[in-house]
Amino acid sequence: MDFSQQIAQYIITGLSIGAIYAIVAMGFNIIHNATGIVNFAQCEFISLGGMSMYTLVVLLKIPILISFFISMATVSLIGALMERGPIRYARSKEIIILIFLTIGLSGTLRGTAQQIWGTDNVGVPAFSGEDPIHLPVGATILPQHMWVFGITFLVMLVLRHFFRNTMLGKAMRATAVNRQAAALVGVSVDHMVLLSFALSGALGAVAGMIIAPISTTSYDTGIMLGLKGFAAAILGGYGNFAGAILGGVILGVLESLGAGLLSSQYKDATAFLVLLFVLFLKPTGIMGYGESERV
Amino acid sequence: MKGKALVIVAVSLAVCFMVGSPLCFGAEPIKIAGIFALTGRAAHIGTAQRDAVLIAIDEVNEQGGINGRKLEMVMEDTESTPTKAVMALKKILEAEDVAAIIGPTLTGTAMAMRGFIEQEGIPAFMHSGGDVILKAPLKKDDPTSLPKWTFKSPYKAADAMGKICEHMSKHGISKIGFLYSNEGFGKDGLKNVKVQAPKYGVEVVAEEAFEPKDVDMTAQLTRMNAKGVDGIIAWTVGPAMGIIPKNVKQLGIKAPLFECHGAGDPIFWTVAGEAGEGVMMPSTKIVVADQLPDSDPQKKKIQAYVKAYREKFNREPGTMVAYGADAAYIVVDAIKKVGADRAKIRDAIENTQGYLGISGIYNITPEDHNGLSMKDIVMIKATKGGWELMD
Repeated sequence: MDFSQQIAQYIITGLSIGAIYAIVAMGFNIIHNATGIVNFAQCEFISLGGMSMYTLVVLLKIPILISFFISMATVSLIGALMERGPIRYARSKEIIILIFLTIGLSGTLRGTAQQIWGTDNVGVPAFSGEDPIHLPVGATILPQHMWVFGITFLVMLVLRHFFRNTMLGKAMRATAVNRQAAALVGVSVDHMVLLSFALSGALGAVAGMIIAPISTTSYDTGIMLGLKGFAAAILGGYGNFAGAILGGVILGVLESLGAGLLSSQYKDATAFLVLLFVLFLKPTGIMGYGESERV
Repeated sequence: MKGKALVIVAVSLAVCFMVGSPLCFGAEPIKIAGIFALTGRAAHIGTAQRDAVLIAIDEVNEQGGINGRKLEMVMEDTESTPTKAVMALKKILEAEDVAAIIGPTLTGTAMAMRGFIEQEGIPAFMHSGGDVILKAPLKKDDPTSLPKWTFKSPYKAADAMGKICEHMSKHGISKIGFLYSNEGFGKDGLKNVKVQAPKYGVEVVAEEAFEPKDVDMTAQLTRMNAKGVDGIIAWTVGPAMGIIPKNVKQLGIKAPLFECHGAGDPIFWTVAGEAGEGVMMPSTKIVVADQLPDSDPQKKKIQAYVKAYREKFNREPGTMVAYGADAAYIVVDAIKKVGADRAKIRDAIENTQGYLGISGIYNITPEDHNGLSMKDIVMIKATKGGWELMD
C-alpha cells in the first residue's frame, strides 16, 4: 500500500465519520436556532436511535427499512415529549436553566436506557452486507459507509428544501431570526419549538442508526458522538447549517489524518487543537456571522 | 431410671450448645463476601463470575455444608468503579462477620480495595486481570511491602502476552503491530508486549492507540499495515473488540489478528458478528472443554462444571467464568480444611499446591499469590460463533 493510497484511506475514513458528526451537529443547530439553548440530550437521541434499531431488527426481526422509520419516529416523539413536558413547563425560561435541564434529561434518558437494555454493546446488521468495496483511489470502504454518505446527503437535501421552500421551514427560520417578530406575523412559536425538538430527535436517531452497524451500539454510545458533533457545530459556526457540514467533515478528516500521519495516541488532541486554533482566530466559527445575525 | 434419662437429655443439650450441632438449632452459616461488578462497564464479566461463585457455594450446601455449617454469600456491587468498591467493602466489614472475600472483578476496583483488605487482615481472592494487584508494593517507599492477604485467580497478563508471542514465533510471525486502548488495561499490555515479544524473537514495529469509545480504527490499521506487519495484536475489552476485526476485514489486511485474554466470551460474537471469524486469542480451557485431549487432567472437571453452569443459567460460560469458579473452590477448600478463622484460611490458601482448577493447576506460594503458569493458557480461534482449540 503506497503513500497516496494511505492518504486516500485516511480521508475516506474521515469523511464517513465526519458525515455522522455533521448530522449530529445539525441536530444541535436546529434546537439552538429555535430556542437559543444547547440541547445536551442530543447525545441520548443518538444512543436511543441505535438501541431501538437493535431492538427492532435483531430482537423483533423487523425488516431494516421499516425499523429505520419506526426508530426515527419513536425518537422524534421522545424529543417532542421532552419539549412538551419539562422544557415547556420549566418555571424559569433562563437559557442557562434550560441548558441544565437538558443535562438532567440526558441523564434520565440514559439511566432509563441502561435499565431497559443493560450495559453491553450490541451489534446491528449492516444495511446491505459487509463485503468491502475497493475504490479506484486505492481505499476500501464498507457498503455501510456508502449508506452513511447517501443518507447524510439525502438528509441535507431534504432539510435544505424544507427550510427554503416550505411554509413551515420558513416559519422556523423566521422564529430563529426573531421570535417576537415571527409571533407578530402569525407564526406559532410554540409549535416551531416543538417541531425543532422532534426534528432534532429524528436527526439524532438517524445518526445513531447508520453508525450502529459500523461501531456497535450501547445505551451510552451517543456521548462521544454527541460531544464530537457539538465540537463540529462550534467549529462550523454554531447555528449555521452549511457550517455544521463543514465542521463535521473537517473534524472527521483531521482526526483520521492525525491518527494516521502524526500519532494515534494524540488523535483527538490533534483535532481539538485545530478547533481551538480556529476559534482563536475566528470566535464565531468558520461560517459563523456573529451573535446579531445568527440564522 | 427417670433421673438417668433427664441427665442424658441435659448432657446432650449441653453438647448441642457447645458444638452448635445443626440437628439441634441449625448452626450459624459461614459467611463469605462476594464483591462483583454487577453493573457498570464490566457488568457482563461481574455477573458471570457471581454465577460461577454461586455454583460452587450451592454445591457445598447441597452436600450438607462444611461441618454442618452452611455457606452464605453476602453480595455487594462495585458498579465497576473504585470508590463504590471501597464503600461496598466497608459496608460488608462493618455489618457482617465474613471469613473471606471473593472478587472484585476489575483491576482498578481491586487496587482501591487492596489497602483496606491488608489492614483488616482478611483473605481476599480476586478476579482482576492486572498483575499490579500482587506486584505493586503497599507502601511507596518500601518495595518489599507486598500484599499478604490478597490473591488473584486469573493467570498473569504477562503470561497471556507471552503465550501469543510464543504462538507467533512458532508460526513464523516476526514483525507485529500492537493496537491498544488508551487506558490502564491497554497501556499495561503495551508494557508487557515490549518485554515478552523479544523473548520469542518477535519485533513490535508499530504501536498504535485508540480511545476506548472510538468507533473506527481504520486509520491506525492502515498505518500499521503500511509498515508491513505480519501479525497484529489488539489489546482491549469492550466494543473495540468487535470493531477492530471489522476494520481489518474492510481494509483487506492479510496479517492474522490476535486479541487479549478477555475476548473469549460470548459477548465477542455479539459485537464482532461475522467479522470475528478467525480471530485468535489466549484463553482458559473452559470455552473449549469438549475439544481438550482426554489426556488433559482438567478435562473431566471442566466438562462437569460447564454442564452445571449451562443447566443452572442456560447460557454458555465465557473464559472469565473460570476465574470466579476457581477463586470460590480454593477458598471453600481452605475453609473445609481449617474452619472459619481468617488467618488460618489465608495460610491454607497460600499452601495450595497442585490444585486442579478450571483455569489451570494452581501452585500458590508466598512469593506467587496467583499460582498459574503459561502452561495453563490455551490459544483459541473464533470459529462459527464458537471457539476452536489450537495446537
